[in-house]
Amino acid sequence: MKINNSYTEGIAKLEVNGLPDHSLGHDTNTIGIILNWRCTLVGHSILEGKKEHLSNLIYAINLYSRYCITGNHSNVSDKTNSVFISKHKDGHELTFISSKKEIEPLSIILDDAEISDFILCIDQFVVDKRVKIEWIIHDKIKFSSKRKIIGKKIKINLINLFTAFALILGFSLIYMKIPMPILEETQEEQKPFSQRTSSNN
Amino acid sequence: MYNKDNSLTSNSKGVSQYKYSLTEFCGIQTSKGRRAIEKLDLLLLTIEALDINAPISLTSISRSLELDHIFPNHVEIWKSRCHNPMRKSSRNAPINRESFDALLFLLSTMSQRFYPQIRQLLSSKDSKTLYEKRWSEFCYRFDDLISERMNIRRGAVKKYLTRSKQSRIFYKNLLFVLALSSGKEGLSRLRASIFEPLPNSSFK
Repeated sequence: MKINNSYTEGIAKLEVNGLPDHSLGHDTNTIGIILNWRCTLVGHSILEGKKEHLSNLIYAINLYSRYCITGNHSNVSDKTNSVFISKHKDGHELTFISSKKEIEPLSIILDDAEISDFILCIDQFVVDKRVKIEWIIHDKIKFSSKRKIIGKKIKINLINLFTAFALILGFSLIYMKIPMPILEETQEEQKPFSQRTSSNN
Repeated sequence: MYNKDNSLTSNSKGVSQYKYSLTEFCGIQTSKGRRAIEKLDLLLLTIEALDINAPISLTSISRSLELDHIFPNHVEIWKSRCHNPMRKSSRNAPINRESFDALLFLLSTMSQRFYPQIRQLLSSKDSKTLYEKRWSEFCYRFDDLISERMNIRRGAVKKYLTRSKQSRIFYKNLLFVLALSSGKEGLSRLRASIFEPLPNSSFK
């Protein structure tokens, strides 16, 4: 039996149609297979597509929200580059690129309140226990700080390597500049060894 | 007690199920941790500026989330928030991890409750006069709370008070962080970003 779930937050309304996956033992209220979905952004546009499109949208939105909360408004896109989100002077620009060549890319500009609605609407769907689908959410918990730490570590390692090399080079140069003590050679020492021994005898 | 998914569990002895990395856990007692408690307190102050009855809501929400063993009354919440070094009456001892986690959970739940008010201020599509009225009220209340609670002799607080008069970006950033912190996924986002400095903040 077809299941229809809907999630609403402000201007955003997400409707998902699906079926339970009986092979995985889902009950009649659980969605295991997504047939189609439709997201209405009141005053903007209606988005719809297949499971893959929804998965790409969830990935991009989640990543962007994590950037936004840290104040880092980086441009975000999914792995297939079908969803692209960037900061715009009037808010946030979402660009959806269709897999069909004849369809022009759709661009929407949302302000802070509208993008929050959209993010929270997607969140409602992601955390819904009635949907048993694993979504790809990159580094779900520690995304922002981990990224920065990794970057810093690489930087620190390079700095350490460079410092060590510079120190070795510096010390070598200083050592080379130090004048060696000149030993006065006696006449005896200047003679070849064979002659020295014979003269002794 | 609560776990990562916000669901409450009664069997634990008050230790959060959420796992911080070692650096972050140690960070609660370091400069990174001080920054986190500053940010947390400032976000709670923003909610107080949104609604005059927010401190009462804070206690009632804490009770409804079964955080009684950490915050049995509003004084305990206030004491935890006083770990913020920017406060007039700040506490030198580091905040414990349990109270820090509970404050995060409270903040996320409060931002979910006050989301309609936060949204109103963030929305640029309302009528201009109404928008300006809401903003002027919020800014007045927020600056008032800052002057009342924070140590205005500190350079960072002084810097903020002068900057906030010139632009609303700092307020907007705070409200946007609050909006994104609401809900279950919001709590996860908040936890991941709490050790990061506030965007365009003078509290660094």
